[in-house]
Parts: sequence; structure tokens; C-alpha cells
Amino acid sequence: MTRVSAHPQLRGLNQRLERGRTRLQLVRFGRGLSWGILLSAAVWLVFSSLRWAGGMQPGAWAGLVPLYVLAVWALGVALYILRTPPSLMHIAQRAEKHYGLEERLSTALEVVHRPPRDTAHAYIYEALVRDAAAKSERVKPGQLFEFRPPRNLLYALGIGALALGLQFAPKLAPPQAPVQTAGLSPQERASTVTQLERVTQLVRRDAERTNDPYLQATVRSLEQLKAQIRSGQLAGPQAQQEIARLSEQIERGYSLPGPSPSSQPATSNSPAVIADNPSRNAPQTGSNRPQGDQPGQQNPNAQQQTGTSPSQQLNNLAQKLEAKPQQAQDKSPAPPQQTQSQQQGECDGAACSDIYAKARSQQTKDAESATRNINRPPGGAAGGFGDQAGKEGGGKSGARGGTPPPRTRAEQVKLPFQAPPSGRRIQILGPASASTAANVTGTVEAQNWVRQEEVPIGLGYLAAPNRSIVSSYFTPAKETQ
Amino acid sequence: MTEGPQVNLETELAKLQQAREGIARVVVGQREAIDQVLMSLISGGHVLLEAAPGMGKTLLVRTLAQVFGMRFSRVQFTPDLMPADITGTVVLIHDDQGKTHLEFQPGPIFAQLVLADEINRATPKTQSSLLEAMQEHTVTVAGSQHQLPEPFFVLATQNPIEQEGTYLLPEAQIDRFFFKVQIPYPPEKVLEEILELTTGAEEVKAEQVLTPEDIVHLQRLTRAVPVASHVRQAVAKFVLATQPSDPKNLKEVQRYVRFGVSPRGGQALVLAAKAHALLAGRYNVAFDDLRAVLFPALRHRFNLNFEGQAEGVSVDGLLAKLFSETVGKQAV
Repeated sequence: MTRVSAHPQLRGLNQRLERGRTRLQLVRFGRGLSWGILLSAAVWLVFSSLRWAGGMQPGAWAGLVPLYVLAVWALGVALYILRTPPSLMHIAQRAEKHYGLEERLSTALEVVHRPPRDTAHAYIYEALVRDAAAKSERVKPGQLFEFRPPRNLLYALGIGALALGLQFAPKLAPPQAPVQTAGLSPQERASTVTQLERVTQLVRRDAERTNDPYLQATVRSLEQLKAQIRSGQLAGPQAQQEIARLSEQIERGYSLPGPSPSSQPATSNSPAVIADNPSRNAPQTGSNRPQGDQPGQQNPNAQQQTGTSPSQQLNNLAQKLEAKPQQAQDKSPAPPQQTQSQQQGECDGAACSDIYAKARSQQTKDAESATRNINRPPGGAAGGFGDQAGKEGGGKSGARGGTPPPRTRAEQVKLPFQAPPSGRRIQILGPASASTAANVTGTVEAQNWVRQEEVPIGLGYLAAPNRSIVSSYFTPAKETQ
Repeated sequence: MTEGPQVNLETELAKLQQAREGIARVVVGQREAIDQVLMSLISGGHVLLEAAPGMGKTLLVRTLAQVFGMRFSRVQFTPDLMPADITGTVVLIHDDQGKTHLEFQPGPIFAQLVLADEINRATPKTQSSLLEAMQEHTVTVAGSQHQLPEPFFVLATQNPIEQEGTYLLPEAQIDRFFFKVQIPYPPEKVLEEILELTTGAEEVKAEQVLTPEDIVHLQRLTRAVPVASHVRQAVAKFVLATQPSDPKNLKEVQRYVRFGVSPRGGQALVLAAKAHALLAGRYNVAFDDLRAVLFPALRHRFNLNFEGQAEGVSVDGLLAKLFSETVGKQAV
């Protein structure tokens, strides 16, 4: 009797089963891969559908996602198959089912490693192994595990064709203009936020020092702008425009010199010019434009400054602000800019200062009731400052309640301060005639003054001389509210 | 390795096939019953044969004895049959010298092939004496144990029609029968052949092909047939699936089954499958072997409750369903 385990015919059986196992692994991988292809096609279809429906902007990454999915899936399948190889017993059972071998192979594989207990067992085992080896001649791994294209591939092909068709199909909705995509890059955004922080600190320092509500409002505006840029709510042209607007207003409020083109036409924004040509008043000049009047119109200055980066623009502003304190310590705040008439000699700076001084003293002397009744705008004082400036349509609160009287000619107005450029307006009273204004000395009868101009207030108005003029001269009541 | 007697496997199996054919020539049209009886014989089990009168039960047993050269005895069970009438008794013997002594007189059970005809007509006491001999292959009389000859094969019959004056075998005793073979009524062609063969002048007789020793060898070979582990697992799963106490089993089982297949039933199933494989010329147990011996091995071990019987639930049908849902899933 020969030992069963040494039966030479079992080697052939083992070789066939090994080949079958290798083939089964390949078949399993192919089958698993087909699921991955199906999944990738589904992902591609989803992206194509979103793009076709207009819910997603096309990008290179969208085309690569299905490939990534397929690669990851294939890797996972390969690892899984390598880690879970089928046993020879499993292959034998598959062969038995396929060829109707009635459990001969699997039983023989078990018996091979089992020592027979007696001669009867030995005879039976021997006969079994011989029988199994003979029957295993029929086992062909190629027939047992055929490489057939899985049905998933057909589905994947169909889905892929659909996705490809969507690529060339006309879009369901027109592509939306990129809202934020052309915005600031993360680096630029961070830099802008840093510079905004820097400017905010400088303005805050002045606001705390002067306890100026307008500066405080400016600080709040800067903080709000910074938060919006940081969170991405404001980016791109809108951010640049807003930065340019704030920069311009800060520059003007501090009377900072600068290359900003907005500062040049500011000198022509004197009330005289404004009154001279009301149609091109503040809205046309950018610096004095009441921004609430035309909210949809873009600031041309901002448009011009889009050439430079917002961070660079803010950096320039911060440098100017940092340079400013030395100037402010050396001298008193800048006097209000002179009007065209003053430059022509009708009222030089000193004379105008006298006029203001006299008017201030007159204001003090006058009875509060008489002065306020006359000067206070019907319907309430011009309210709202700082962050409110430029955000309400028209800023008509100062002129609320009545139609302004026919405006006198600008040449007759001798108001030597620059009109505050902001959304809100304030009534400016002055002497009825230019000669009266020019000859004002000492006490002036303010009751006889008429409303000369209705000008907006804003950041430009924040300059201390102007504020004192307006607060003591024309609208003392509104600042107490 | 324990060395046993030298056997020639192919020769033994060839003789078994010859015996099978020889019996089939005599007992016409009952090939399935013949195979089941042969399987029981080479498995070392006993058979409960259920058939109507005149179906050839006695002929089958007698032919079997002729083919295998076994000593044959027949016991007709009646209500007044006593255990001693089967097992034998101790009698007082007077010898030639005038002395007396007690001597054991073996009963009809001391044969290699015993036909217990209409076993359900005897009292339970008598039945149990037979069943003890079936299980232990020994008989104890007057404190002395007597070994029964090998091979020892009991073929009991019971009449499924007449139930009056009978004592139904308890389930515990029925469980000791390896197979419950049912002999169906023969179809027309078979009946015609039976009439032709049995009413002629010449009586067909079977020749002896195997010896009782060959039967013992075949029994040893049968037990040596290996069973693959997944086949064995499937059988265990199937046996557990017949238990009504398991809430995971089929609702029909929980509702209609009184008690499921015992572990002895599982043993019988596997052993019978081994015999079936050997009879089919194979040396391993296949799922087909289990399917082939499912009903004779388990139908008397799978009891329905009153509700199942009242609703006419078929034991064979329920077994087939359970088998296909457990073993069959792996087989196909």
C-alpha cells in the first residue's frame, strides 16, 4: 500500500487547482475593477449632469475625479484580493460543481493529509485519491474561470456615453459669470486683511485720541470690510472698489496728499463750484459725490485703482497715515480748503478764519431758539454719520421736510470750506450776499442768513475745522442728538 | 495505523453489485427498496419495512439471506409473544445419567438475518427485548449475556393498514432502526412482470454471491468512506434546522414538528450516505448521496405534532424543503 500523501497523481491535481486559483484571482480583480469603472462612470455622469445643468463650473479637477475614484478603487480591490486568496479547497469545490465531480476533489484534498486508521481506511483513501486524480483531468482552469466581460462594463459604457454626451450637449442654463472666482487669491486676501488691520489701527488710534464719532464710524467700516474680505463675502472688484472708496475718504478726511486722482478734483468741489454747476456736483467728482444718491454707479476712482492691488493701495494709505501724526503734531489741523472765490482774493484764509470766528461767537451769543429755529432743517437735523454715510439712498435726512429754496449763485456764496463729501446732506447757511460775507467782522446777525447750499456730509467733513464750523456755525443742533 | 484484515476493495464492491442484481432478479420492481436494504446491511443498521400485506417483504428477506449466505430466522409477532420466545430461555435438561442441569436455549433472534414480522402486534415488553438485541448485538438471559452472530441484521415489518390490536412502537425505539423503507405498490408493468415470474412452474432463486464475512468487511469499508468537512457541516446545519425549538428555523418546522432529527439521525444520514456512495462505486460522500438516503434515514425520526398531522403535512415534503434550503444550497 502506498502512502496517500505521496500519491504522484495528486501533484497534477494541485497544479490544476493552483492555476485555477490564479485565474480566479484575475477574474475577481476584473470583476471588482468593473464595479470601479461603473462607479467612476457614475461619478463622471454626476459631474457632467451638474455642469450641464449649470450647477457647477467646469474645472480640470472635475474631469480627474472619476479617474481618482477608479484608481483608488482598483488599488483597494487589488489589496483585498491579495489579502483574501481563495483556498485550494474552494477551487476544488468550484470545480466539483462545474464538472459534477461529486465532492471527489475536496474530499481527496482533505484525505491526503489524514493518516488512515486501518487498512479499510487506507484502501478507501487510496481509491479515492486515485479516483480524484483521474477525474481532475477534466478540470480546465480556463473553462472553470472564464474571462468574460462583466455586465457592469456594459452599464458603465452606457453611463459613460451619457456623460460624454452631456459634455457636448448645450447647457441647460447659461453659465453664470464668475462671482468670486476672479477675486483675491488667498495670499492677496491675507495681505489685504493685514493691511486693513494696519490702517484700522491707525484710524482707531486717532479716533480714540480725538474721540471723534466719525473716525469711530470709519473704524467700524474698516472692521466690517475686513471681516467681509476675510470671510470671502467680499472679493474681487467689489472689494477693490470698497477699499478704494474708503481709502479715498480717509485720505480726504485726513487731507492727506497722494497720487490718488480723486484728490485732484477735490479742490474744485468747493461749494462755489458745486453751486455753479449743480448738475455735475458731487456725483460727478467722485470725492464729493454723495454716494447714496447713486448706489449703483461705480466709483471711477476705484475703477482706476483696480490696476494696483488692494493690499498695495492699503499699504500706501497706511504709510501716509503713519507719516501724518508728525505733521499733525507740528501744526494745527489743516485749514479748510479755499474756494475759488477766496483764491481770487475775495476772502483769503485769514479773513475767512475771521469770518468763522465771528460767526462762531455770534452763534454763541444768539439765542438758541432763534438760531436753531432758523437753522435747523425742517423735519429734523441731518443725522447719521460715519458708517451710515453713503449707505442710505440720497442721505436726504438733512433736507427732509421741505424743498430747498432757489439756490443763489455760487459766486455770491462765501463759504470757505469744502463741502463734506458723503451721502448725507446738511444745510449750509450763509449771508445773503457775497459782499456781506466778505465784510463780516465781529458779530454777525445769523438770523438774516439764508440757506446757501445743501451739501453732503461725510468723511471729508471729519476734518476738525470743518466740523467745528458746521457744528457751531450752521447746524449746532444735530450734533447734540 | 491499525492493521485490519486484507480486503480487496474492487472485488468486494463488484460482489456487492452482483448481489444487488441477483436480488433484483427475484424481487421484481423494488430496486429502490433493495438498495435501501443493502445500504442498511453494509452500514450495520436495521430496517423497519413498511408495506401492505403481499408486497414481497418476506421474499425480500429470504432472498437477501440466500444471496449473502446468512442464517435466517423469522419471528411472527403476536400479542401473546413473550420476550423469551425471541431471545431464548433457560430450560431444565435431563441428561442421560439422570442428572438435570439448566441450559440456555437460544431463541430465533440468534440468527444473522431476522425477520420480525408485524412487530407492532407484540407488546412493548417483547418489542423492547428485540430492540435491545438490535442495539447491543447481545442478549441477556438469566444473568448471562450471549453474543449474537455477526453480521446481525433485523428486518422488522409493520402493516400500515391494520392498526387494531397493535402496539405502536415508541419513538425512542423507532429511532433505533437505521432505515424505514416503504415499499410502494408496483406499477402495472412491474405487477405484470411479478405475475409472470411468480406464477410459473419454475421458481426464480438467487445465488449466494457474498459471505457473511464479506458483509462485515463491507461494513468496515463503509465506515471508512471519508466525508469532506463542508459536507459534514452541511449535515449538521440541516439537523439543526429540523429542531422546532430554534426560533431561527422555518416557521413550518416550529409549527408542525414535534421533535426534530436526533444526533443519531444525523449519524444515520451520514452513514447511509457512505453506504450509498460505496454502492454507487464512489469512495467519498457527496451531497447527492445525502439526498438519496434522506427519506429512509430520517422520515421515522422526524415527528410531526398533532397540528401537522391534522393538516396533512408531508414528512418527506418538509424534509425535502429543509434539505434544499440548507444542504442543497451548497450542493448546487
